[in-house]
Amino acid sequence: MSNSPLNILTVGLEEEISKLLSDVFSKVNVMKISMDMDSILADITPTPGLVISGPAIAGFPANELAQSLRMQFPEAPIFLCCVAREGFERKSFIKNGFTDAFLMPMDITNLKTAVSEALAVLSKGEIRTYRPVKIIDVEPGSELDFETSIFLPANQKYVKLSNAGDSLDAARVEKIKKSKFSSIQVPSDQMKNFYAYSAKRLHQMGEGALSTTEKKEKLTLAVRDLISGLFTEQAASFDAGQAMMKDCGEIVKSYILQGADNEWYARIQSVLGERGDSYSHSANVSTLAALFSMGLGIGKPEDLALAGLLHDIGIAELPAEIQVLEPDQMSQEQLEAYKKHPEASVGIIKSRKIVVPEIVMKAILQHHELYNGTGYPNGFFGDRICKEAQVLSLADKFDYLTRLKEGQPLMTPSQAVDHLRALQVNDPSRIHYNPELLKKLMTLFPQPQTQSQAGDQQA
Amino acid sequence: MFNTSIKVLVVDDMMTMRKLVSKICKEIGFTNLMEAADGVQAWEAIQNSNPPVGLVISDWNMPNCSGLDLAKRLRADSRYKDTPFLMVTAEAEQHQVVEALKAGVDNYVVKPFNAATLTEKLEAVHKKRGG
Repeated sequence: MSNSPLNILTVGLEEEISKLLSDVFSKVNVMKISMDMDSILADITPTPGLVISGPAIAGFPANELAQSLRMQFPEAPIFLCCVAREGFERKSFIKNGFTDAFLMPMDITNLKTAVSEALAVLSKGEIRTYRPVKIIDVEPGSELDFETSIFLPANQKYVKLSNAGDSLDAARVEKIKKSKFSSIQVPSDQMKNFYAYSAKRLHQMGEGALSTTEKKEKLTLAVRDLISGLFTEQAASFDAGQAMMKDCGEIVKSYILQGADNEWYARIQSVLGERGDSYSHSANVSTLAALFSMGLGIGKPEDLALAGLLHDIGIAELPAEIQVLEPDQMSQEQLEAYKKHPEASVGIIKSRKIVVPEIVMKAILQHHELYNGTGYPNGFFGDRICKEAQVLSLADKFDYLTRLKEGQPLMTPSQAVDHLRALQVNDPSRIHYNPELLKKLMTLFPQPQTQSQAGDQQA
Repeated sequence: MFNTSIKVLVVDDMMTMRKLVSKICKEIGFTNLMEAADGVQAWEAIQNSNPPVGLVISDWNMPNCSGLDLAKRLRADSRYKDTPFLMVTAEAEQHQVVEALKAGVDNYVVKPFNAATLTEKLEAVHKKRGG
């Protein structure tokens, strides 16, 4: 940062979005231009390294704004962010010149990540941001031309594992694998080295497939496209619904159900320890629900994958200020509104004329029902809740428990199940999940490795 | 290499886009630039221009007289039937390009574009015209 200040140009950005980005903005020089195309045409020096635009400049539809900004700033990443869902056509915006388009508030995490990463690249690593890379994508002993670290959520620290040019030896990789870490962290500006490394490695192994890291990234992106498409496309025709359903099917087939049976636990593990946003949550729950379905022999994995993708879409119908909260942060009134989301999810699917199996609808509607009858919307009790919904709600809770939360240590899969069992074993009022399912799930996970857990902080 | 001393007419109803296209033309090396806000203005400018316009870069979608109408008008006139014509289109209009090429447009460029793309397109036009 010392020699070259970075400039962000904001164009007609809505005030609330500026506020949300203020922590990112505090690192750099922000030029602000509002609602005026003439100022965009003026020669701006120094040339901004990044442009963040709002949706409306008088008389300019978003696509023409995209074209103009792209032609004026051919090299810079240009992000669009807006609150209004109407007319939000992400793919079209990108074709017309925006690098990416973000729909608020659902996309806030993605926007912050994208802005931070753009700044990291522009500053050539002086501003540091990291991306998670699945540990199974790293070959022990091979030379890595990127730096690796591990993130310790409990004290919010990145601890360096290796420098660029070094390797991670087998013992170390094994230790990380056995611990609760499914990912190591690579500086964002070095991700292209990781992609080149993983492509070369897979090629040598005779596999054309993508690395697990890339699969995970693609899945989240696919879910993001799918979900924003569901909210924003106005015309709800049967054909559009069928097309959407086909997309869902592709996502389920190519990202979620792909993988050998013996990778079951590795795949569960690869889902854990991510930072949460609505898209990766849907992607994770979908993967977990399908895997649980396979492991427990309940329902069809493809039905549960689909239910996982769509279970929370109703949240987008909630007021923006509720969407960004976790349930335990909500007021009574907000919580009541939040509790309507399973019905809203089903409502959106119906209104978009998407035809899904009846059991998928049922699982989505019942995914907040609890085994002791204290859930919602209907307060169903025990096996009155369909088995698929029981699996889905378990996957939902499981993703929440094993998600990366700052200030807290990560939970391993068996710790998560243990935690749920311990909660309800002595307290009937807390029997939220079918005890039989929890018991069976427990047997599917390797027993906790107390040794490696003690050691992973130094891994 | 095409000749950068020719007179270039940039036609677009959006002032911003006109300025941006002109700016890219200057980057490429053109110095003699003229602008028009629609096909009608462009047609007038072409007829009154001295030296004659050596290249038209026109937007497709414009009120009054569209880029396509302008191209047809030029091609129907013996004085301008050989004036190089580059159509600027948006991504969504790409399927109409065949119609434009039939009408005598030399090539097209999709918005947004940069100096390198425009240079490429102009090279192609130059080559096609036996340059």
